[in-house]
Amino acid sequence: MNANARTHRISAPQLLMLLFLSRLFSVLNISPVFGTLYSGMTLLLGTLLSFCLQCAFLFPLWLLSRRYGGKTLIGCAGDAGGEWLKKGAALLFLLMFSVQICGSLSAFSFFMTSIVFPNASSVLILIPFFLTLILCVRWGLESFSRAAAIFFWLFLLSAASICIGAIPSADLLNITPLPTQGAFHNIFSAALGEISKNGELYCLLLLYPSLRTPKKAAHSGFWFLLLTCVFMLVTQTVILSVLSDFGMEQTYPYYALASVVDLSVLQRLDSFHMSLWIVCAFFRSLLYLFLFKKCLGTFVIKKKTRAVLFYSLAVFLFFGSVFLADHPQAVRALNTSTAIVPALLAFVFPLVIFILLKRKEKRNETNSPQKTHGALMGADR
Amino acid sequence: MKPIRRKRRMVLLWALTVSLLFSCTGCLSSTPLNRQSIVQAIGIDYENGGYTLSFQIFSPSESGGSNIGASADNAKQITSTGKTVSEAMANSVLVQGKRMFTGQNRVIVIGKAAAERGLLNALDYFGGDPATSRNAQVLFSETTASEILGAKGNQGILPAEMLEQIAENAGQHGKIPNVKLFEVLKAADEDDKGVLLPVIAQIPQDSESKSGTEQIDSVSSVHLTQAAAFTKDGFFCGIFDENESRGALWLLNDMDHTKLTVFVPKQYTAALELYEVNTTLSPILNQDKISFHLTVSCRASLTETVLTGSSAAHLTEDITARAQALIADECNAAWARAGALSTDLFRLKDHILQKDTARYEQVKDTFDETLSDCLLTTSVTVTIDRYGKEYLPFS
Repeated sequence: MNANARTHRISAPQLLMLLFLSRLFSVLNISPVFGTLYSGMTLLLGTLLSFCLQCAFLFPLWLLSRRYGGKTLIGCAGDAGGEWLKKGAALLFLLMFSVQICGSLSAFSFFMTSIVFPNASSVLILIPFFLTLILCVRWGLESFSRAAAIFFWLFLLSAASICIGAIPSADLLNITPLPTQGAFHNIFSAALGEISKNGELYCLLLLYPSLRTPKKAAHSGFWFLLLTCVFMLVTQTVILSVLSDFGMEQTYPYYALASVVDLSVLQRLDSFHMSLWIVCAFFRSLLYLFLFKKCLGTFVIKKKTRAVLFYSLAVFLFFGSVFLADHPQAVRALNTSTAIVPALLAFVFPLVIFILLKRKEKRNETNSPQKTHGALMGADR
Repeated sequence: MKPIRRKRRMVLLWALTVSLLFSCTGCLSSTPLNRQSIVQAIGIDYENGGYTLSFQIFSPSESGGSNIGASADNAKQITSTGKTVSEAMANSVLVQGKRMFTGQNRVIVIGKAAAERGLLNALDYFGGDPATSRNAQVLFSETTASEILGAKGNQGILPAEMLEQIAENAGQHGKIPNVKLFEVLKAADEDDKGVLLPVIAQIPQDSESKSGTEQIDSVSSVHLTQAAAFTKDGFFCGIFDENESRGALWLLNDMDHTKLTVFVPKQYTAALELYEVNTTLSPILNQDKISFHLTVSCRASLTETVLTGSSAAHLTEDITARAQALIADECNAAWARAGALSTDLFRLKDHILQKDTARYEQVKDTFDETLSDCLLTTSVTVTIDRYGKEYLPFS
């Protein structure tokens, strides 16, 4: 490993902060417009259950990062099943990232055109945003991870100020208990709903080789999930105790909370919160666009051709986002019952790849005992 | 990479970054400040089959920031009408050349006629408009809202600021519940509990000066003394007097601190400051009936004692006992009033829901009708542990 490769890697805390900011956008962006929202104790227990389930999803990541830390899941797929499996895996991730990019951009645009500039044109909102994204993708993972580390602390400060400001209005009487019938079903549905929004789980499988110590990927993943869970539980408790079920019926419950909280002379905390919300949308879209570009590299090796293809597909993504931004019912349809996707991409698929690799290794060891798994560990970043 | 090409890219990068900021900070479809009227208070009345909105806007009487003083002259009132509140809002730009900005609105006053047509009908527009401040105080006027907004106040830069402060003080000092817009919208949305709003009224002015000499202007010409009760559907149903309003604060667990006056004819008058208050309302769910128990625990400071006759033996104990009885009376008065109005104003159904979900499901639809049959028991503890003096006066 040369020195340059080492300097362009990111640390485990940087990865954690980047993933957290990216995930936050989907946390803040929850809205009854895009899917069913649960309330009261059902929501809180659903969040807790989703954390436990998502921790289980880290198991394949832990296996892969410890044994094949130098290769992404796509690289591992290539080693396990040849070029076709590699390209198939890359195509699968490419499609998922396309959906995530369009979803994130449309959600961002919907937020901007309903709260910041009511009834403005989504195209006008998305053009500069998208152009800046394209440009920032060129800077690479390290640069935007560093930027994310700065905004991470700003965001925590903003969230803490909102929660502290909300405490005088909070009343635990507002949190509705579990219903008498169908409580477990509702909790489980709420948990699945949370899992379906966590695309960062499978991003980790493509990002761990970029860590300075890839073996810490599962640790970063665990802390990312824990931090997100704690953040969600705290903010959900505050929303429910201040606004009750009424809060979860608002177009944007987190925004509704920010809009009713004032802290001394800071009377409209929602303005500050909104600017950080935009930053979260930016990091989420940036992360997915970066990984989208990375997956594209599996198909096209030539640099110029790859660039042309990337920009051409980016134009499609832009128009896809504009379409979804103007059709929130389509986003709602995409959101329903998609918990299966993270389960497949973050758990089943990497586990299958790991088993295939282990079998191949064993076969290789039987055929030529001097050859070890080190042969499979070529750099693929 | 060649340096010139690199430089061009950097310039492009900065241009794009700046363009991102343009889209996010308000430069898109913006309205300059000089084209906006900054609304400080909104009055909602219903007359002639439509809503009349009165806006109190910030408008310094003379140009230049140095001339803004503490007077009512900094405010102007604009009125617009419409069949709905949103139509009246839209029409407001036709009666003056500026766009109404409600993001800094402090107070919403609802006139009796508008309140009788339902709170939600009057306030729904403001709940859905993202620009409107949801922290605005909501007040009820037994006459018209425009009359209250037109009242002169000589404290603060704007009369609206004074109205807001009066409402906040009434809540903070344990006089009358202090209600914000989002709380009214929340109660209306939940659709199973009523709401209490502070009643604002004009202080009757004497037509002639008593002494015949020139007098200093009164600071305020409005006051809060009562609370208006609204049903779960948001319709005005009755008035809580001063005693009942305070009782409501105990029952709603909204009392932070307050002052209490114990008056015993021909003996003494004592003033207590209750500086730490804890209240717990808990349901007692028996097989056939539901009752509630209120536990109040206060720590108090004896701030003033005026002896008007022979002083009682064990005066501190006597004051404590009478203060406890006074609080219990206030709570019972508020309870009886809510029962008479058949409206769940104290979130009683929420208490039942927290304790027993199945029982809540059984009673939720009929609870309001049987509210007058519900009993309230109280246990009040007042502990006087501060005397405002360096020695204990009566020990």
